Amino acid sequence: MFDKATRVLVVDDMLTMRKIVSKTLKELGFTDITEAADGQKAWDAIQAANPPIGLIVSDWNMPNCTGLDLLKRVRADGRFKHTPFVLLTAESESHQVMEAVKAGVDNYIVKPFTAETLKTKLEEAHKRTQNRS
Amino acid sequence: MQFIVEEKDGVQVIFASGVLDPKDSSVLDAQVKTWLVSPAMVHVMDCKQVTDVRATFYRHLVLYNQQLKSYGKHLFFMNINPKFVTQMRADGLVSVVVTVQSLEEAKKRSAPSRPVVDVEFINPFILATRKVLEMQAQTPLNPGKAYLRKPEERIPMEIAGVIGIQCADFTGTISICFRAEVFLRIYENMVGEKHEQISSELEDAAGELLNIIFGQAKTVLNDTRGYNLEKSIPTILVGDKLKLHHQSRNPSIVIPFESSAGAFHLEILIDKAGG
Repeated sequence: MFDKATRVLVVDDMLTMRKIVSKTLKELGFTDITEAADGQKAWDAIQAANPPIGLIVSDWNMPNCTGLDLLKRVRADGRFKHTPFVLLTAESESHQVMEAVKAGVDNYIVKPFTAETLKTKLEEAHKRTQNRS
Repeated sequence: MQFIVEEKDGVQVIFASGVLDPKDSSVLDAQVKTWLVSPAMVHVMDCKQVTDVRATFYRHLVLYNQQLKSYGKHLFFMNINPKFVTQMRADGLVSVVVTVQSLEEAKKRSAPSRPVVDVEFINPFILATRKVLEMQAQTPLNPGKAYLRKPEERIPMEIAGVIGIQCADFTGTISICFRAEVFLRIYENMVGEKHEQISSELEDAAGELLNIIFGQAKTVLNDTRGYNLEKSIPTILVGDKLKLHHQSRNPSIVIPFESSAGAFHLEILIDKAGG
């Protein structure tokens, strides 16, 4: 599992969902959580972060820069291409899952989710990241 | 303007090219006569090579679509420039311009219509509402019996999330409606924050709940039952004495839910496409 001191970036255009994800991450023991309200703000935060962001949990459907757009930007940049990236979405149609996997997502969480689901998905993402790097 | 016709896997594909201009409409009219007698029930106009569509050309597409409908056939558009789709939709031609990504999708979407609203359609929304409220807001629910709302019936509410439903066969809305005190209790269960009144900071929770419910139900209806519902964005309505009034001849279906946080309801309204 991720070190609980890992710097986590939570990205969602809905304030309520940012609060829910951050609250759940805190319940799981994470202590360094920052939030961004859209993909562009997230990208700015990722580039500016020092120490760097160690885990991104992003919503898919956001205006302007979607979670998938953000994932593609992150994967295309040599500095962040190994940063663990988990997508959150309200939809789980098979073509969407395939699109996210092709773009290099480390895991995919369908809303609604419990703390237990988030924990399991993050553990799986961590294993994938370890195998990749 | 040129049209090349190919029959592919039971679909009549019309490759249009050049500028679709009404001054050349005789070209289209002459072709349509032969297309109508083709055995294919699904027609797809591939617009990849179309460079422009003159606004007055739409009339010919509307007529073509009407003729196809009278033969029980379907018309779809593929590879159409989004600019033209926006333009046609702005001109009120939503029922004419149904776009698809592939011939397979056109075949799927032209499958015989289902009954507009039935148990098969409503149940995924009931199941999704229970799952979402239980999982995301730790609020177990008991669904009540669904009923048709009379136009004059007013159900008290102070906040509602409304989302559009659209697919080839029908359009409509689904709404989730709360009294303020019920919404605030559910919000507290979800986020862990207690509030005395609904502020702008809290409003998006109604939209997010509905978004997740819609996403869950849509996945079931699309992946396993072939409805092809399209993605939609929720709208939030807030106010005292809020009243939902639907511009439709059809009554809406109300699904009441009981919970420890209080009662709330879902409301589903469906109209046949173009109806």
